[in-house]
Amino acid sequence: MYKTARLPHWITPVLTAVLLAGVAAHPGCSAERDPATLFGPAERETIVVDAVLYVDHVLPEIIITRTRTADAEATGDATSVNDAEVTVIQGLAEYTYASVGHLGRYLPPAGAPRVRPNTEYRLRVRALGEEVRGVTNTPAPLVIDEIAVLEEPSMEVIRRLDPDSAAGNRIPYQEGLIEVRFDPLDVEAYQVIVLEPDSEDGGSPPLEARDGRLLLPWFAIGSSGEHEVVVYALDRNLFDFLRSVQASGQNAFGFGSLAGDTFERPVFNLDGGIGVFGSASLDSFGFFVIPES
Amino acid sequence: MKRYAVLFYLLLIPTSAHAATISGFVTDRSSGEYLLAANVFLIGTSLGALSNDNGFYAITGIPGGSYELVVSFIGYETYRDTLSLGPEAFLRRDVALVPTVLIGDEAVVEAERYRDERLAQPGFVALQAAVLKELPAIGETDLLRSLQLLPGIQASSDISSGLYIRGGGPDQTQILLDQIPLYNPSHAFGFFSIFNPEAIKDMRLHKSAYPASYGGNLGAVLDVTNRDGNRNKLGGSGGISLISMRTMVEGPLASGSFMVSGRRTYLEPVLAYIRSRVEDIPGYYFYDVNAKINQNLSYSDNLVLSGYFGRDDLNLETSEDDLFNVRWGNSAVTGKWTHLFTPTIFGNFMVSGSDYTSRLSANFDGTEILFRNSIRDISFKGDLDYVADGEHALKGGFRASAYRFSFIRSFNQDDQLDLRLKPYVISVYAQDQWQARASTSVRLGLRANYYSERETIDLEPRLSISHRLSEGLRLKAGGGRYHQYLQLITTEGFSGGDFWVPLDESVSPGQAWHYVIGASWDPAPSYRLSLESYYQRLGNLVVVDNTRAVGGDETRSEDVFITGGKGYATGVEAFVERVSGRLTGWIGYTLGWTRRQFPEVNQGKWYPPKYDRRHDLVVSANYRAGRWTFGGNVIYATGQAFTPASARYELRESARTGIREDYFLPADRNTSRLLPYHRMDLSVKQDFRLFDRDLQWYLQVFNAYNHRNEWFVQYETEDDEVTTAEVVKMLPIVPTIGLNYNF
Repeated sequence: MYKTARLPHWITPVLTAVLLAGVAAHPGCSAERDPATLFGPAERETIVVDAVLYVDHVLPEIIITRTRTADAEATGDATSVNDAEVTVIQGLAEYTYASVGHLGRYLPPAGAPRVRPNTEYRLRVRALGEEVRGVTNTPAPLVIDEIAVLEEPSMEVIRRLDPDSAAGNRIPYQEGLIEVRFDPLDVEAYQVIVLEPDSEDGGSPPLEARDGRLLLPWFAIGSSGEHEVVVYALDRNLFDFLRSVQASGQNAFGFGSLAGDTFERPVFNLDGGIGVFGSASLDSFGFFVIPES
Repeated sequence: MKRYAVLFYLLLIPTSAHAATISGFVTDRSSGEYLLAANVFLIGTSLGALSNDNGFYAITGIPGGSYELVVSFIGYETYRDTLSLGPEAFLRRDVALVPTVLIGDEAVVEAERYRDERLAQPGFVALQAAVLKELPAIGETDLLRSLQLLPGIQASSDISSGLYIRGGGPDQTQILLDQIPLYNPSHAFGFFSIFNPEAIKDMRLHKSAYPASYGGNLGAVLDVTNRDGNRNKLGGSGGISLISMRTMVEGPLASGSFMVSGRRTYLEPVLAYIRSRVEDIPGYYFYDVNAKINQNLSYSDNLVLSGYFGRDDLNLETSEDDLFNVRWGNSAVTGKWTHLFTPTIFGNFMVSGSDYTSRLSANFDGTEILFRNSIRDISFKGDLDYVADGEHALKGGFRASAYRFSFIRSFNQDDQLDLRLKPYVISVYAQDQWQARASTSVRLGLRANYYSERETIDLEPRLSISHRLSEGLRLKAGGGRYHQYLQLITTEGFSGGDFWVPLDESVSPGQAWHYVIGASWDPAPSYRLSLESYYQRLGNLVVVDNTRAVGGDETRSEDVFITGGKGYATGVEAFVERVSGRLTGWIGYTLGWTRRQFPEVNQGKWYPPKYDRRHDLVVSANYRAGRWTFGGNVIYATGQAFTPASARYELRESARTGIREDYFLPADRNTSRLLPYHRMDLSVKQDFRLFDRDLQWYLQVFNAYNHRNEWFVQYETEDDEVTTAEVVKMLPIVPTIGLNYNF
């Protein structure tokens, strides 16, 4: 079956010892990581647009900044772009924004109109020798018709809240589920933000709600007292940004990935820059949370 | 039309008329277990055969006359018998070989069992129970972790037993236990595999270009066989480690044998003690049970009933309102009937049922979250082996599997995803093992799959060629086409509660072409060398879409996945192994490239997945000195790819407050590398006798020089000003002790 010739008997132990020693002594054993190598090639001076139009509200303030290197320290106004040419275009009308002069803030001209529903708006920003362009189509107005408190697990309506006044809307903590009902719009998704006293805004991920119903999770309620719930109907740009920036958490353990492997460039839908030029329509209601006994 | 010509050709292969046939089974006399790949031949002729998976052999086309029948198998006394055969005689001759194995040489014997398969089939690896138990391990012996030491196979992290084979992820590898697919092969979030080392008889791994008898996955096939049980005497084995206890009992039963094994963790008291002092410590356990009954129903009939049951359960209750529970497990039962139809036709038929359930539930401040995935399948499988003549050994078969899937995601009492499908897959295959010349063998196969959701038939040609250049030196080549209809959704960092989703009519199944070429050289009985190059081209790949809006009523596969991916994996593997003597082990090296591309990922640009490794070197050695055994592994691999941050930018959290929030802008996907991975594992074992029992204690040290390898990078901003990039490290040195016993 085999040839009778044999390899020298010492070859395996010698080969093994050499490899073990060689690998163990590899410089990588003691190498210390240079922190700079954990950052990618710097993408500096890219224009960042921050502009969200709200239906039935006046044209909003727009912020123009630029990217800085990932390991750079934030130094207040250092990234602001205060000399940009910012224009919002709707049909034949052009609204030229004026720089406040700091923090990259730009204000619409006096007497700027309210944002119309179901309308296309364009953005043009000229700065740093570049031009950024974006387009948004505003959603239809969003109107909350009904707020119901449902019993678990039957999901039967046990009471209704007043959409127009928070005064009588008093709910014991974690008693039932609060459902917001509205006529569904032709949008990709909605976002819910619960405004609490003494806490920062916390936005939900994009919620599809094709049936015009959204259940409010109790873990979004961190304290008792008065709360305001704002429901946003998102345009395509805002939806794309929110869904992709949340999924690309650089430390996320997302399904289908290694730890950290969902770190993916968000969808900006802007030519020549990054950020958001989007729109939304919104409605809100208020209620009081009564502490647990 | 050419495709069907292959089937036609198979049907036309002639059988020899006016010639004698001898056939039978080869078994181990001491245990009664069937011996696979025993060499059976007639002295002075070119006539011979190898016993198949069930120990069956057949030699056909024998001219009438007197012959000396020889049955040989390494580690056993050679059997010789003189036969006189008439011109058209059919002779049944069962052979029970007497073992001559010396203590400590089991590894050699078992390693040689699949020599012929190894020489004939590129990408084939066999790892035996004895070899497995010798390797240094973390905690306790583990099949999947041991496989990670072979060339072309990588781990994603120290805590994962997931297999990344030749550029494919765990979702592309089919894992079979006694021919039943297992959907989640991991315990403890991937730290251990579900295979109880006491129950394993052997395992065969096709790293790529697998033959037509397998199907359903784009990458590799791991085929694990449990022990049949000792037909002659009652006995058993087991072990105690720091985290679990395992045991196996086997023995004769009626006209056959039985085997039962079990394993369970006993961490609960320890965790409860820690929990009484430290908050947020979960309760956790896993168990698994294997059972097998093997009965000879008649001279030509054998029945095997086997089952596997396993469960993992983690429960964390941080407060009255907050709890988190993850539970998953496989259950599988199978009945297999083997029957000798004629001296040249051997068949086995199987019916099996498998159930995989994964459930993740949580409740945070009154908000319930639920992920539930279940797969049930009932399968019928049949295989026929037909020894046509001295040149052709035909194999054909079918598999029909009916699945019932459900994947439910519920948030706050709202069913956000409810994907339920009842697809079925019917596969048929035919294969000819053709000894074209004395030095050249060809394995030609064709598999056809019908998947009910697509209502199409996918044809999969398979080919492997082996040509002997000189004694011990062979050239091999192989290739084939493959499809995959079920998709795994998992985290690669750890693998608990994995979800499987079938592809429906909205998404084309993944497909792959494999090409392998290589050479193997056995320069001496103790040494094996091999060099293989592979290329895999992948299409219709999918990845889960994490950017879907929450609450979408996704009921189709296209709603769950990003589709249209393609990729390739290519590389060269070198393997040097010493299989006998005091010092055994291997050196394996892989040079590889893996790339993926999706229209919606990384802006459509090609990128290396995390498990792309340019270099991967493993040295694994065992040295046996009397009752002592010393083991060591040294591993060196290119660091994993990761996506670095390339910039920071600010956007307002909301227009209401105007507070600006910092975001990191990633560079192109996986364009940086972690530092190279390396570690050394050591073990020492001593055999001894106590109370007339064979025992073995062991000390194993994982990551002996305590090198904290890098796992992943996370970026944080401190006080909204300074950015830090922190590297999260993997396991430090982990010593473990334990005891193995036989009775």
